[in-house]
Amino acid sequence: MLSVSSGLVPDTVTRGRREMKLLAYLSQTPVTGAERGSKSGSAGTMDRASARCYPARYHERSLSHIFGRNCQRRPGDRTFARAHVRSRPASCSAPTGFASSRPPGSIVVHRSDRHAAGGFGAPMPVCIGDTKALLLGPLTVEPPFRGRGIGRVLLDSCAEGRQGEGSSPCRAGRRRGLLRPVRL
Amino acid sequence: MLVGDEAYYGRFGFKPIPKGRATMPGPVDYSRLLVAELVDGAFAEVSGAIRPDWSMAR
Repeated sequence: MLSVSSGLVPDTVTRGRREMKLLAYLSQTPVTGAERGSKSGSAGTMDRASARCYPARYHERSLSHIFGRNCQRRPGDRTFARAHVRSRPASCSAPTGFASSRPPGSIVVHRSDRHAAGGFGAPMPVCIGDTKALLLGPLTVEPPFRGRGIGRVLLDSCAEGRQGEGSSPCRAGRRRGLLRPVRL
Repeated sequence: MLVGDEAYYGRFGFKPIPKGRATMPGPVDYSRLLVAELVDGAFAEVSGAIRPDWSMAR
């Protein structure tokens, strides 16, 4: 601490409050790898806690998918054996990790050898001021499958769902009409 | 609406929301806040804070 303070701020008498804060910050011990790991873990806990401020479990799930927790490919994503855009049925029981790791209404593209190629989170109903809107995303396409129009298929599926569903657009991804073959 | 790259989502009809028209509850790069109008001119008079639609909550 002494070396930091004497190096940066030589005059100890004329320091203001901001300088003292900066000095206190700089004199903290550096974060080690293990601490950094636990720090990110606590950040995740904080996210969950702030999401729980919302009264409905639906929003807790929606917020977590907006923050990107479901962006990563998980082992359960390799569950389905056919290549198409598929929406998870609302009443689907969860025998695998796939069903529980994606919010209802989300869309996943997967290949015939059961590797997930991309996905689109469930649209979240929001209001801008007093006007109803849909917050889309996250849209993810696995790196090996990029540049093949999968993102467009996902977006088109979402658009078709919005127009077909009328007043309940958040259920867009659940429509069977979204099933569509994709050439991978 | 979504938060994304205008260069990509522009081809799907997404346009950036003019700065100050809408505010997100958390930190966001407002140049990446995009909106697509399903009906032409639907966003013309819209402004305000973006918040969950509680009427859709279960």
